[in-house]
Amino acid sequence: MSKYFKIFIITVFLLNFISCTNKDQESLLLDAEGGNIDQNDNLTEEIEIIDNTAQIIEMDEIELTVEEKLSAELIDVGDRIFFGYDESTISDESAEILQQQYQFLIRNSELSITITGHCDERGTREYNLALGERRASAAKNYLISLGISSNRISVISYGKEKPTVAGHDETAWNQNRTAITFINSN
Amino acid sequence: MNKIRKYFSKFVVFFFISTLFILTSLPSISQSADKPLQIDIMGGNIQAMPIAISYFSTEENLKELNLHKNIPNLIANNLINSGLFKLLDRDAYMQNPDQLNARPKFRDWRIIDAQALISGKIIKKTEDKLSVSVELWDVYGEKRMFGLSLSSKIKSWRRISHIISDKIYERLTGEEGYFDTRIVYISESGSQKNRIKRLAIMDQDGGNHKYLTDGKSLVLTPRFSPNQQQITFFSYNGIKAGLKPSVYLYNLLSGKIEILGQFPGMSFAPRFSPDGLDLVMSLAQNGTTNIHIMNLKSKKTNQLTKGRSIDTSPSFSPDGKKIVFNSDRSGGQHLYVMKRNGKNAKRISFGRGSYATPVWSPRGDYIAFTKFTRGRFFIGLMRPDGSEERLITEGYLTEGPTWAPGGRVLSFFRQIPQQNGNMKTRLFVIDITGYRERELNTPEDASDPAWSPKNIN
Repeated sequence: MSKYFKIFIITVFLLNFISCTNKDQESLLLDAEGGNIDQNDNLTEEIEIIDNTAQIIEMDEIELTVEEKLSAELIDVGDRIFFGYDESTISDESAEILQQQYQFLIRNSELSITITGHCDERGTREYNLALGERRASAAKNYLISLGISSNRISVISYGKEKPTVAGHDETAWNQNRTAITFINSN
Repeated sequence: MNKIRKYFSKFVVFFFISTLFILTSLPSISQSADKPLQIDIMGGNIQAMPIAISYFSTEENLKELNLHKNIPNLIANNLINSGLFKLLDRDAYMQNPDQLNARPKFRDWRIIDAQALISGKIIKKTEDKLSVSVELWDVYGEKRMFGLSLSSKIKSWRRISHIISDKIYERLTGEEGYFDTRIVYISESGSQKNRIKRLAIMDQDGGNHKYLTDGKSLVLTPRFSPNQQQITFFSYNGIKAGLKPSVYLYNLLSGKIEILGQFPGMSFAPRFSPDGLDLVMSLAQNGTTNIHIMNLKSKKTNQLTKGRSIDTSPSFSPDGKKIVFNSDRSGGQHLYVMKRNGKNAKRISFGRGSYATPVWSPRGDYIAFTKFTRGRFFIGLMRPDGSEERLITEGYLTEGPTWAPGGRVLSFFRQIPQQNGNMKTRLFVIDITGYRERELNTPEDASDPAWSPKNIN
């Protein structure tokens, strides 16, 4: 998201610059999304850099790439399932999410995915690497059982290395026992 | 000898059988008239032995290097860190380093209650070489316990100091020294969600610290080879290129990094065999993790465990004949010992909670492990048959014991919750009695320590 935010800011600078050079113009300007921007935003110090940055703005950068649109869609249908402590069984709730992922993979039959397996921090490093692999494999096998070809799915275990949520309590641990599905870039 | 008796009388013994044993044998030990000066490290809450470590005498042209102070200071630091010795204040010494070149006046050292005295002399041999000679004196026995002379490049003064420390420790405790060793570990920085982990190496006292990887790839669980010139570790290096997270080999002399085989799944949890010819590790595929052994020369692998369970964290016995590992085949996580060929796996842990990361002591008498029970993590020890289990330290997270040479001292890492909700992760050292725990200084957060074998001279 930060890339778009940057481009948005640059656009604002640019619009501001135009307005500064044309003092007669109305004091309110529209931003990219149509909201009002107050001209007294104190951005005058930044004007100098505009000549350089204005040239590199490309319209298509603001657009989401196909891959990003698909990732957003995957997140909408549910990109992750959760597990109980030291467990790798697929709950009913997880099964529903995996069925949504299955539908998504049918709709986008050219895609391949990687499922990452994760654990909470209440286990040893090596055991958790194995447990994360078991969780990711459980998700993979469920998708295979629904009919997705196994060569479209890779798994990587991160054990307790890459938690979704920082924190050291039950809430954080629950969030961190996951298998998360990502779309492979090419 | 009355002074020495004091140390034996302060024994706190840590399990019942040895309590009986020591109580019955204690009188004969302490009444022995010609017992050499020795401290018993198996005593738990013993008082540190007061020792005097004089600055060394040196030639005038060497004084600017300050080694006559740096070397005895480093020796003192090692011995004090063991928790077994107390350095007597040098202001109270009545003889100066030059006077000690002859036989010490033992009376002058008894006044300040020094049990042992260490004196030394540094001589320049060539432009970049020096010779260090050291003597260890039994103050009450009025005896020279040993003399030692070492010569080396001036820049190797730290190693000289560590070797001398080992000799003194060995003479005074009867146990193998562990000061001339290194520790490889994972240096950690960055946020909890996006941790940067680098392979780092240092002397056991924190000296000569060096980073071995740049932090671009996630690296974990380094372990030393018996010849100490290689480190095996687990890394996500190459996953963008489609490689599985795998076991790697780092050559400390050449700096070369090599992937150890490519498997259908993730390979991890590597450890060398005691002869350094083989490596055991886990391979995870399709929800199952099994232990495999790889010959490092031919790269041929053999599967040692079978089944649907998680079998991981394998560690060889020092004779190379057996392997202890962690498995959830019974439902819970427990420790098992099998033959090197994978046959005859027998469960050895039966207590409550989960047992993990077993590591066989280099002496063969204990297996150290991590245990998780009732919401806390412990470092524990048991005999190779599973008997005499005891827990030596605990915390929110304590994990990954590693043995120092000699098998009497361990390192591990601990996560310590902070006021602001963050964690501090540090390396610690403790001895098998569970006493004398201390933090090892590292520049950043640190985990996954692996103690090197003894340096080969």
